[in-house]
Amino acid sequence: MQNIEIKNLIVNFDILNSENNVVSKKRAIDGVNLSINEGEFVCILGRNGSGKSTLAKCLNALVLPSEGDVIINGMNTKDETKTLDIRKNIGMAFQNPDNQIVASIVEEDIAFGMENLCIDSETMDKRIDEALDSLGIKELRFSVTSKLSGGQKQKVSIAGILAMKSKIIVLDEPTSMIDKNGRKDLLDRVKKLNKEDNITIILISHYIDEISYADRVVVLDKGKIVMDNTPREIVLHKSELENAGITLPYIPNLATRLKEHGKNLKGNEFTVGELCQFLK
Amino acid sequence: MSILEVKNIKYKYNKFDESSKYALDDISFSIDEKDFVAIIGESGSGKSTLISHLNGLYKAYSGEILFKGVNIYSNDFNLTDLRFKCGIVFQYPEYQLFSETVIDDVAFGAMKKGLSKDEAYKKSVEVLKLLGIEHLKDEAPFNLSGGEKRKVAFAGVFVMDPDILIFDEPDAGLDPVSKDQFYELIKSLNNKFGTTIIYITHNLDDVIEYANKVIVLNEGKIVKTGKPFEILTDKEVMTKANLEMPYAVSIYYEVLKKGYEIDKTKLKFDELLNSLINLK
Ligand SMILES: Nc1ncnc2c1ncn2[C@@H]1O[C@H](COP(=O)(O)OP(=O)(O)OP(=O)(O)O)[C@@H](O)[C@H]1O
Ligand SMILES: Nc1ncnc2c1ncn2[C@@H]1O[C@H](COP(=O)(O)OP(=O)(O)O)[C@@H](O)[C@H]1O
Ligand SMILES: [Mg+2]
Ligand SMILES: [Mg+2]
Repeated sequence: MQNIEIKNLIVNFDILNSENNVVSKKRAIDGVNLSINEGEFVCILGRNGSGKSTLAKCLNALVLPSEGDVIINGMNTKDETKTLDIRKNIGMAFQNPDNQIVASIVEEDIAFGMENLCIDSETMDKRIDEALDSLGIKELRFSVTSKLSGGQKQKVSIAGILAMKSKIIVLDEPTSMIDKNGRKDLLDRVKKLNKEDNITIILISHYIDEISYADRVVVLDKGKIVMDNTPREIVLHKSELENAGITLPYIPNLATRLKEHGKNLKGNEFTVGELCQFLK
Repeated sequence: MSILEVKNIKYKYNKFDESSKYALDDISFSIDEKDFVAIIGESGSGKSTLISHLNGLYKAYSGEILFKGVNIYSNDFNLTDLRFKCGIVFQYPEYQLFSETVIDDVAFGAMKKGLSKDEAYKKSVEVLKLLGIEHLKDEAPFNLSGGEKRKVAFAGVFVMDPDILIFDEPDAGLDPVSKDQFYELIKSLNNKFGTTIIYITHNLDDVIEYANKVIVLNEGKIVKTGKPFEILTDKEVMTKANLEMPYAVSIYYEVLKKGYEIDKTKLKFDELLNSLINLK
C-alpha cells in the first residue's frame, strides 16, 4: 500500500511588507515528486532554506500545495474533511521544541497527543512510561516543561510523538541539541519502531552520519529533489553532494580519502569497525 | 593574560527551594585572550546556564567572575559595556530576533553600540555577505528557516565586534557546508583579531578540529578542563560525563587495539588521515 504520494508539488510563500501587502513570492518547493512506502525509513538532507521543513509541513496539511497534490494513505491534504484523520496518521516533531510543547508538566505534555487519539488512561500511563524510559528521561516525568534545557525539551517532544504510535513519524532535526549518546539512544528507538511495527520514518537532519539509520536518502536543493538513493550509494557521490551543500559524514569521508591513497576500502564504510578493516 | 576568570560560582534556578540542586556547583576556570574554548556535556549538565553568567545576564549565587581582572559584580562595574564586549548567540536564536526585516535586526545592535545609521547599515550588509545571507536582508526574520534564523542571529552579534564571542550550540541547525564555513569564519576572527571564542557543542570531532581548550561539565560541576586530545581520549572523564567519544578517538583506540602505534596528539582530520596512511 502506498503511504505517501507527492505529485508535482509546488509551494509559494507570499513575502509581505510592513503594511501586509504582498511584495513578492518565494518558491520553497519547486516541483517535487516523491512516493514513500509503508515501513520505509527516509532521511531528508539539504542546505538551509532548501525546503525540508516546508515539505514536512505539507505532509500533515500545515502547509497546502500552491500546485500539485500530497496524498497520505489515500487522503488528499487539500480535502479539509480529512485534515484531522491525516494528523492522526502522522506524528510530527518540529525543529524548535518550544513550538511543540503545550503542557506545563512533562507527563501532561506527552499525554496531550494521545488524548486526541482517544486512548484510555491506563494505556496512556504505560506508554508515557515506555516513551520516557526509551529516551532515558524517566526522572523528568513530573518536571515543569518550561524549566528544561534545550536537549531535554527535544527529548520530551519526541517522547510525545513516540507515545502516539502514529503510522508515520516525521522528525525535523530531532537531535540537533542532544549529545551523541542521546542521539544514538533516540535513533535506535526510532529504528526499532520502524523495524518491529513497520512505522514509516521521515528524518530531517544536518547530522549527516545519521543517514546510516535510513534505507533511503533524499537530497533537496532549491525546492527540488536532486538525489534519491541508498546511504551506501549516496556517499560515493561526494561532489554531487557538495553541490547540494552536503559534506560526507566523518567515516565515509575518511574512508574515501584513504581509498584515494590506495587503501583497500570502498569509501562507503559507516562504522569504525568497517573502516579499520583495511588494517590487517 | 586571562580575559575571563570564573571563581567558585554557584547558581540555582529556585533560590527559595532548599532541596533543589545547584545548576552550577562551584565552577572555576580561566580563559586567556585568543583562546578557542569548547564547553561540552550532556543535556542538562549546565552549559547554557554557565554561559549566561559570562556576560552578567545571570548573577551567581556565590563566587565571582573577573573580566580583564575586574570583578563584574563590583558596584562600579559597567555591565552594559560588558554586553557589547561579550557577544552571545543563544541556543534558540529566534528569541533574539524582533525587527521587521533582517537588515533592521542586524543594524540595531550596531547602532546601539554607537555607529551612525549609515555606518551601521553598511556594516550590517557586509556581515550578511560574510555569512552568505545577503539575499535575505529585506525579509522578515520570523518567516525564515531554522538555519537562516541562526545565521541572522550570528550577524547581529558579529556586527558589534565583541572581544569575546560566545555561542550556545551554534552548529545546531546549520547545514554541513554552512557549519564548516561558520567555524572557518570564527577561526579567522580568532587568528586575525585575537577574538576569544567560547562555544557549546555536541559535535566532538569539531572540538578536536578547532578548540584549544575544553571544559567538560556534568551535573553542574566541572569534570575536567584541558586540551582536546587529552580530554577526549580520557575514558574516565568521558564515562563520568556520560559522553560518547568522537569518531577520531574511537578510530585511535581501534588502531591501538590492532597493535599499531599512533600519535595521540594528532587527531585532527588531516593529521589522523596522515597517520592512517603511514601506519607501520
Ligand atoms: N511562512 C513562510 N513565509 C515565507 N517564506 C518562508 C516561510 N517558511 C519558509 N520560508 C522560506 O522557504 C524556504 C524553505 O524553508 P524551509 O523552512 O523549508 O527550509 P529548510 O530546508 O527546513 O531549512 P533549515 O535547514 O534551515 O531548517 C526558505 O528560504 C524560507 O526562508
Ligand atoms: N529556567 C529554568 N528554570 C529552572 N531550571 C532550569 C531552567 N533552565 C535550565 N534549568 C535546569 O538547569 C539544569 C541545567 O540546564 P542547562 O544549563 O540549560 O543545561 P545544558 O545547556 O547543559 O543542556 C537542568 O537540570 C535544567 O533542567
Ligand atoms: Mg528546517
Ligand atoms: Mg543548553
